[in-house]
Amino acid sequence: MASSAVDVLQGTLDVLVLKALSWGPRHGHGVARVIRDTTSGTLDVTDGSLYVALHRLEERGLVESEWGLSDKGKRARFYELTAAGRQHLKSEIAAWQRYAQSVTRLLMATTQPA
Amino acid sequence: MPSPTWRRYLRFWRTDVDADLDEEFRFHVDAEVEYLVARGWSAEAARDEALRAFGDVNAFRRDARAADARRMERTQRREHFTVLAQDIRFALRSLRRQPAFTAIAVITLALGIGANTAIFSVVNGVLLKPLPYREPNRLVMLWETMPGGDRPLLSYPNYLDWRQRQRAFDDIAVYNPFPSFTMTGQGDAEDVGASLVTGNYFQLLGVHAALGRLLVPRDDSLGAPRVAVLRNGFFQSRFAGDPSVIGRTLLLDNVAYTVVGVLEPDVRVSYRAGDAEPDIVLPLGLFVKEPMYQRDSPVLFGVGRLKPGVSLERGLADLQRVSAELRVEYPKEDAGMGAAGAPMMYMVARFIKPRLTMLTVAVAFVLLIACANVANLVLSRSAARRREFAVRTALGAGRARIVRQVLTESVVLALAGGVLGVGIALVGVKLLLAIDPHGVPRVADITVNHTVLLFAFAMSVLTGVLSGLVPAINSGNTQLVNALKEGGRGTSGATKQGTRAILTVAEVALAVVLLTASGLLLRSFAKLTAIDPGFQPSHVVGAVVRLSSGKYPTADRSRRALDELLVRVRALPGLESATMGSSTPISPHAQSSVTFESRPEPDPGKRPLVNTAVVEPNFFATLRIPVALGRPFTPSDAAGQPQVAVISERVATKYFANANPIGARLELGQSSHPTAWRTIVGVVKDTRTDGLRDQPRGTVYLPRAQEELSGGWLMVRSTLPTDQIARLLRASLREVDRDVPLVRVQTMDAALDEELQGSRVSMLLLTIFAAVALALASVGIYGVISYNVTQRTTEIGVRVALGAQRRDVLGLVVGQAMAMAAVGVGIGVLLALWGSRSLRAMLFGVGPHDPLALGGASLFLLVIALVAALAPALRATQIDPTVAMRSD
Repeated sequence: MASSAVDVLQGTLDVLVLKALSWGPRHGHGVARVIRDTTSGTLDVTDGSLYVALHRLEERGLVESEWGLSDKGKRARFYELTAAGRQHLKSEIAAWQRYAQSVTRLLMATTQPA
Repeated sequence: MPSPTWRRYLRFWRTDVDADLDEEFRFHVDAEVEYLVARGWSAEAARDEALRAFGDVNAFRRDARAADARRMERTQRREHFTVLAQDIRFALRSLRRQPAFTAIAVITLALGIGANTAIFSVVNGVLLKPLPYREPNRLVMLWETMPGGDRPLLSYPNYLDWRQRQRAFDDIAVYNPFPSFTMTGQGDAEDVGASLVTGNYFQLLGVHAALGRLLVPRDDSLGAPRVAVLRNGFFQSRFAGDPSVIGRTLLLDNVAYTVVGVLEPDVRVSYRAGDAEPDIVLPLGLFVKEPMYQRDSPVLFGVGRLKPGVSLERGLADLQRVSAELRVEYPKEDAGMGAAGAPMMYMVARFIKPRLTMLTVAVAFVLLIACANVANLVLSRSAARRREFAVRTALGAGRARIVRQVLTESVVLALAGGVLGVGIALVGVKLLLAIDPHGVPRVADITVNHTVLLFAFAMSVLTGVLSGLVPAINSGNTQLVNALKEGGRGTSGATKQGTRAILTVAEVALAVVLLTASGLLLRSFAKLTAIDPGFQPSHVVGAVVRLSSGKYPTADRSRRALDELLVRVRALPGLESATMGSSTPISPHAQSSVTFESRPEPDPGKRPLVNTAVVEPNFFATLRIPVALGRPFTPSDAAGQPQVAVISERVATKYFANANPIGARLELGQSSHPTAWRTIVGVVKDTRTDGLRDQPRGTVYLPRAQEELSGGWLMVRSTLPTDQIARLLRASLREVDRDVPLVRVQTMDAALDEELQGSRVSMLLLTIFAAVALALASVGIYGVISYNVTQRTTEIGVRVALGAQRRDVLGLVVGQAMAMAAVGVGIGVLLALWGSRSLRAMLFGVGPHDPLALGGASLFLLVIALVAALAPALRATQIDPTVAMRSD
């Protein structure tokens, strides 16, 4: 598993975290599980770095946090996207799509460009 | 592990970032372990895996904490700002809702701040702003001390010796700010004031030329080419700022001087209180052959620049050493000579400083009264707002928040008052300068500049805090439940009543002090105006005629010209009589040492000094100076006849005690007079030769026919209007010599009045401030009593229902006001007794504890209190018990 995992850059990690929160408030562990489950462990995300990302996003006003109770009845810190965060995610997704399409187009090209 | 509940409380005060992070991380690991165990991991393996997946806890904690810290700092700053903006918005809204309250408060504060700002602009210009010279704090004024002499002056030869032998100063210079010259050849003959300075004077001060050059040492000797420097203002007004004036020749007293430079603007040649601002500056060295510059004739002001690090004491000790040498070398002229000095700024400010200090204290009192008044107003208002505060408290506003809100309101009020106050100050300063307060040095430096504006701003904020503090603390104390229960109209607590009473008592006390001070100055002024000047000033007009030594080189020529002038003037219609003298009865006199034949020559170190005056025979008759003994001069006291003198009563009593001085002989020691024995033929009453306030020194009069006089005061007694007299005199003078100007035409009444001007201005200002204080204090009393009546409506209603008479109600309300006033007056009288001693320098003919001033002030305030209480008291008697008791 570790051998095939890809290192994640910080900017990318931020987008992943924002995306994980786009379905509603989640605590840190929940965010970690979403990323790990949806990518089936192909991305090497250290759990601790997730928290740093969350706190930085909060500093930038993209997410807000509040203490609440987990579904197991334990006190946990929940994060939620702010309007700015939602906006930021949208533009990051658009940027990623443009980037990925360009890279894909080039890598998948079968004929030599003129 | 502390319980989450406990920590939540902790967070209420201060977010505990570290503990939060630890808890968050711990939760993550626990959740992951749980997740893994649910998928079949053993507890230990699951924990190991969770910790491995988490990574370096310490590094992550550090990074996350840094992000949190930055975020919180920013939030806090924003929050402060938001709250402040909110408070200000809220304050503005709530002040707008009560325009009457706002207007009264703003005007009250504006009066206080305006008065302070106006006085501060004077203090700043006159006392605080450094003199416009290089390193002015090293500059000192120096003079020689002589037994019997009391003027801070220095003779020229002694100056030269001091300068050469001293070691403590970079340099010493002297100047004479008093000479005047007749300028001719530039249109009409004109009298110009001059300052004679030594060649090192400007270099010592560090003054520069705006045009050309200033005087230098090589200009400063008898044989040097005659050069002159112009005052900038004179250059602008007389020569229209034309730079070609440099190199031009001016005729001063018929002697040619070349203009070499113009002084920079806004810098005076000298600032000593009493120095006139000269139009031209000439090198002193050109004039030192004149008899007044001999060693025994101190006529110059000395200026020294102390070497860096040398104190004035050491500088003076050095000059004392030189003076001791001079005492030995010139045992006659320098007997008993010593050295004295003071910082230059002291000599500039010494007369004005006590007055300004008094006025500063006075306006501070006015401001304190204004603060107390506004605090009282805010208190009554906040009583009405208790419900609002209670509701806000119930909605979660903390006590600090409410206090801050009230403070914000009063600061906003005070800032509005400050803006209006600066307006008042601008007008006030303009008015003050329009009166041209006599004897205030550096008048040109009195402006409302940025320093003054900064002062006004600081003053406003301080005022806001001062006037808001008491109400703020009070509203913070609001008892939530009571306030809500009382339905907002509530009888506010006894403490609030107490506070208001204390504030009012303080107002009354301060007003009493101000009123007493103004009473003392008023009484002094009345005494000053009642002084008998020793002659009859009304209907006497005087003017100065001065014949230049250039055109009238001999005493004979000038005597003939003056004789001719007098003949012509006496022939004028409408004049009762005309006379001439070297001084008027109240202008400064020349001084001389005196020796009486009948008395052994006193110790040479103790030369007695007298005033001297050279006068026409009819001088005493024209001015109506009574002759006490013997006779006045007559025309037969002519040149070549036996030399005679008339002395004033003070000279007679001082040197002859009870003996008859008629027939005794005296000799005047001043070197300018040909020494000879003169026989005393008469004794006249003294006039106030040395200032209205001071006892005269005593005068020896000499007849003009036996003396050299190259000019002086022409004085006529006439009922004609002053300007008509001036026209007639000018015409006569023109017939004698076109090139002699008639200057300083003034009535003797005006001259006397000028002496009173300084006292009048301080008296007037203090009275204005006292009146403002009185008005504010009476408004304060009215406010408190009126409010009290409203608060006690029910109680009074009950009393009336129980049979209290109108008189009883009146007595109740008025009694309360008078009790407050009486306590205030008592405290005020004690304060005045304690503080008025500092006024002593400004008082004349009254003691600082003058019972009339104290009693008058006290009585006046009690009456004012009574009047202020009367309206609310009458309202109280109108209370209808049935209405009053139902109003709950």
